[in-house]
Amino acid sequence: MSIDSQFIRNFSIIAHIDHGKSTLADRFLENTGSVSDREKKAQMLDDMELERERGITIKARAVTMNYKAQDGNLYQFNLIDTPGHVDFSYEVSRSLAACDGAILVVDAAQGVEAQTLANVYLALENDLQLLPVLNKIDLPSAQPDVILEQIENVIGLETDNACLISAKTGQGIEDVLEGVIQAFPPPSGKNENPLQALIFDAWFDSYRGLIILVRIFEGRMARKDRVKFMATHSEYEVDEVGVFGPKMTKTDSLEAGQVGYVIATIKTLDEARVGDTITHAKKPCASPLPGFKESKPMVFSGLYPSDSNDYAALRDALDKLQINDTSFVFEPETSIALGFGFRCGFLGLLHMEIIQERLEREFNLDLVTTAPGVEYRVTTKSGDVVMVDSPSKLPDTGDIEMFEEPYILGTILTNSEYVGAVLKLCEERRGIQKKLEYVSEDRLLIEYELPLNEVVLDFYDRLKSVSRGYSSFDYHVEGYWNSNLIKLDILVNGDLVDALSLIVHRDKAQNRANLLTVKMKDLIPRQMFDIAIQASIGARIVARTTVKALRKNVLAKCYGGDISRKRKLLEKQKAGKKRMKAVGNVQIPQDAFLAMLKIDN
Amino acid sequence: MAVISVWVGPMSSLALYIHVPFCGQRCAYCHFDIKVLHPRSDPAAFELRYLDALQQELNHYAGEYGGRSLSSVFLGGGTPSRLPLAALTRLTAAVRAAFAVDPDCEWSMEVNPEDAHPTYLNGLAELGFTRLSFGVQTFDDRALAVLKRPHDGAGAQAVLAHCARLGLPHGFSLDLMLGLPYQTEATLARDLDVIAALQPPHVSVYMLETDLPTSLDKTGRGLPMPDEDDQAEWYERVVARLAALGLAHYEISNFARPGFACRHNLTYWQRGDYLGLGPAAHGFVGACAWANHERLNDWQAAVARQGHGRASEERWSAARCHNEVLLQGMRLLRGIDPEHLSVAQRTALKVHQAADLLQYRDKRLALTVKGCLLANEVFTSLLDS
Repeated sequence: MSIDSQFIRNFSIIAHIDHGKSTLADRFLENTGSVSDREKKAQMLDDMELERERGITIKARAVTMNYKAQDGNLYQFNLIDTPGHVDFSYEVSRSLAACDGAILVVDAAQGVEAQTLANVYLALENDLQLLPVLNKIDLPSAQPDVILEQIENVIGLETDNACLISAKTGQGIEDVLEGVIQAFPPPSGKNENPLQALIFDAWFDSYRGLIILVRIFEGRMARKDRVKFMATHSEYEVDEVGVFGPKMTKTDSLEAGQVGYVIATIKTLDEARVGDTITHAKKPCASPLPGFKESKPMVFSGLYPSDSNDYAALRDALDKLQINDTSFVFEPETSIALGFGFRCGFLGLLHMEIIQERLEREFNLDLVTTAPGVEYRVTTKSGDVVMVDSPSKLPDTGDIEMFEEPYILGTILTNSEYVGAVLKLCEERRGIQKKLEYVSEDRLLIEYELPLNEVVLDFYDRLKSVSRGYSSFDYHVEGYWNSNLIKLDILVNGDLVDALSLIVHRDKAQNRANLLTVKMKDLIPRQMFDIAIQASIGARIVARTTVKALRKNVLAKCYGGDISRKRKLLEKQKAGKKRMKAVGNVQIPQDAFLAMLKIDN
Repeated sequence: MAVISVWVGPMSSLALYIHVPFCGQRCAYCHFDIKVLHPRSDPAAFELRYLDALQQELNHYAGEYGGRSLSSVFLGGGTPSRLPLAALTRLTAAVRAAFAVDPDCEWSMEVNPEDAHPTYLNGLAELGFTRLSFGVQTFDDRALAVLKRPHDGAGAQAVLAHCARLGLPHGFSLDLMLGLPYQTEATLARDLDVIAALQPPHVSVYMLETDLPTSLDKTGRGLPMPDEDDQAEWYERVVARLAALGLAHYEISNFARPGFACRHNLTYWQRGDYLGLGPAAHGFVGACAWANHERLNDWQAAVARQGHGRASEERWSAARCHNEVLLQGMRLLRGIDPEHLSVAQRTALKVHQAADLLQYRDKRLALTVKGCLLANEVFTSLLDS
C-alpha cells in the first residue's frame, strides 16, 4: 500500500477524563466508514473491561482511517490513542512522539482541568501542533466563549481555528476532520533513508504473539526484513506488517510517515520496549530516535494473599500480568506479620489499583495490601548509593550521609471557594507553593512541589473531599531531593516489630509516633502483664503507651447448662491466641498488623 | 495423652435440675429464652401446659433412671417463684412420685425477692424446700431500677431476714453482682455491710457479662458503668470481706459457711450425673450430655412426641470427660489433683504458677484469688484440643 506522505496525518486526541475523547474517536471511525453500525460498540478503542468501567485508556491503540476530504483527496488518518493518566506519562509521551499533531478536547462546560494541562505540556514537549476542540456545546451549561478565553489565557493557545462540537450528537465532527488536514503537517521522512521506526506500544496477544506498534519516521519496513532493536541490541526477522483499520489488516510494507504494527517471533515484552527504535540490521540508521527511557516504578506496596495457601497462585498471576506490563515489577518479600508475599513496584497509584483489581477480579485472589510507599535514595558515608523501597532495607542510621526522596510537581485546578482548604492540605503534606493564579473568574490553577510519599497515601481522596469534588489533580515526577528523613521504629516490650517500621520526615515523626503508639495500644489485647508500646528514632524513645495487664478473664457463672457454652468460648480464646504472632513474649493479633499497615492517618 | 482416671461420680445418686421458664418481666442483664407472663395472658393456662409436660418428662426419666435416688433437686429459671404454691405442690409431688429421694436431699429453689411474701416462703418450707437462693444482685435502688428488677433494697433485706428466721436445713443464699450501672466502691461497701448484718450462710458473687447481647446494652448506654478493672478490684475486696464474715471461698463465684456449699452445684463441678428437665435445661449422665429445646413450645412438643425435651445430645469421649473433670474441678478452690494432669498441661500451667494464678494447697493445684479473675487463661491451658 503506497501513499504519498502529503496525504497522511498522524495525530492523537488529548483531553481531561470524561471530556469526550473516546466518543470523539468513535465518531471519527463512523464518519470515515471504518466501522459499520453493526460493529459499533460503545467506545471502540477501549477494549478492556476495566478500562471501560474506569473510563480510562490503559493500552494505547492506533487506528488507520481513510478520509475523503472536501478537497477531493483521499487522506490516511492515523489516530493514535494515548493512556489518559499521569501514571503512564512516559507511555503518553511516546505515543505523542509518534504524532505530528494533537486534538485538544476541552469540555465546553467544565473548561481546562489538570489533565488538560499535563497533556498539553507533553504535546508541546514533542513539538506537536494543537487543534483546540470544544466538546459538549449542546449542554445547557456550555460556555464556549468563556472556555475559549480560558484556553487562550491558561494554555496560551490561539483559538481562531477552534471547532465547536458535540461528539454525542455528531455536530461539528466534519469540521474537526477538515481541521486535522489544515492544522497538522504531513509527516516528513523518505523511503530511501535508513529505517527509523519508533515503538510506541507493544502487547502480547495470545494468538499472534507480541504485537508492536510503530511510527515509521524514515525508510520502509517489509516482511522478511532483518531488523534490529537499538536499545536491546536484539535482531529479528519481520514476519508481518500491517495496520489497524480498526481490524488488523496485513500490508506489504510500512512506509515513511506511516503508523502500523510489526510482528516478529519475539518471546518477551522486555525485548520490544516502548520508546526504542527499530532499524535495519544491515543498513542501520546513524542514531536512534530520542526520548527512550526505562520505565521506572515510583510507588511500592506489599501484596500478600489473605490465605497463605494462595501464595503460588499469586505468584503465577503476577507473572501473567507482567507479560503485558513490564512497567510493573515484583519480588518476593516475607513479613513476620503477613507471611509470604511480594513487594511490588508500580508506575503510580492508579497503576497499583488497576493491578490489584485485576489480580482480584481476573485471578480471583483475595489480597492484603500494605500502605503504598515510595523508593528513597540513600547515599552512605562510604559513597554508595542505595535505592530503598522498604524500611528494612535501610542502612544503619549512622552510615547515612544523604537521604533523598522523590518529589513531584502537582497541578491542581479548583474553585476559588475551596482554595483555602486545598492550600492547607498541600501545606500539611510538606508542599512548596510554586504557582497560584486565576484561570477564570472563580477557577484557580495551583502548583505545588510535593514529596511523592505524601501524595501516594490518600492525597487525591483528601483533595476531592476538601473541595467537594471540584478539583482536578495531575503531577509529574521532578526528581530526588535531599530531605530530613528518619526511620521510626515500633517496639513492643522492648522488641522491635520490623513489619511496622517506617520512613517519615522528621517534622512529622512525633505526630506519627504518637498516633501509631495510641493506635497499637487499642489493637493489642490486654495480656497477663503490662505491655509497653514505644516508638523510637534510633535509640531515642519518642512516644510510649501502655497496655495494662489483663485483670479479668473469667466466666464467673458456670453451672450445668453453661458448660458447653463455656467450652466454646475457651476454644475460641485458644484459637484466637494461636492466630497471634509472638513478638518477644507479647501476642499480637494478625488484624493489628493489618490495621497498622493498611490505614494511615 | 494418657487418661489416668475418669471420675464418674457416685453411681447411686443423681441430681435433678428443673428449669422454670417463666418470669414476671425481663431483667436488663438477661440473655435467656424466657416466657414473660403478663397477668392478661392467663398465666394459669401456661403453668398447666408446662406442668403437664414436665410430669411427662419426669415419668420418662423415671423409667430410665428410677432405680437411682436423688441427692439434690434444684428449681432454677427463669423465675421459679412465679409458680404459685399450688403449682409447686403438684411439681414436688410429681418428683417424689417419680424418684426415690435421699433423706438429706437438698431441695433448692431460686426466688425473686418481690415474690417472697412471708406466707409464700413458709409454704416453700412446708413443701420440703431446704435451701432458697435469692436473686438480690444489689441493695442499691438506683441500680435495681436500671436492671428492671421490681424489688427494692429494703424489701430484699426484709425477705432475707424472714428467711433467716425459717431456719432451713441447707440455709439460704443471695446473689451479689459486680459491674452494675451506678455501682461504686461506696455502694458495694453498703451492700457488704447489709450482708454482714444478715449473716447469710451462702453468697454467690457474679460479674456482669458483656459478651452476650442484653437489653442493658441499650438502656445502659451512657450510664456510669464500672470497667473490668473495677470489677476485678472489687472482686478481691468482696472475697476478703466475705472471708472475714466466715464465708469460705469454695468456687470462683461461691462462698459458704462450713456445711452450706450448694450440693447440687457441686455435682456440676465434680462432674456427677444430673438430669435436666424443662425447656433449655441441660443434663449429663455417664458420658452423655444433652440440651433440651430452649423455647417452651418446642420443648413441650418434643416431650409430647418423644417423652423428653432433648434437642441435641452428644456422647463424650473418655478424654473429653477427663478434660471436663479438670476444667470444672479447677473452678473449685480446693483445686485438682496434679496427678491427673498430662505432662503438657503441667508444663503449660507452670507459667500460671509463676504469674501467681495457681498455687499448691494441700498438695493440690488450685486457683489463687488473682487466678479466679483470670481463670479462662488457666482453663485454655488445660484444654486438650
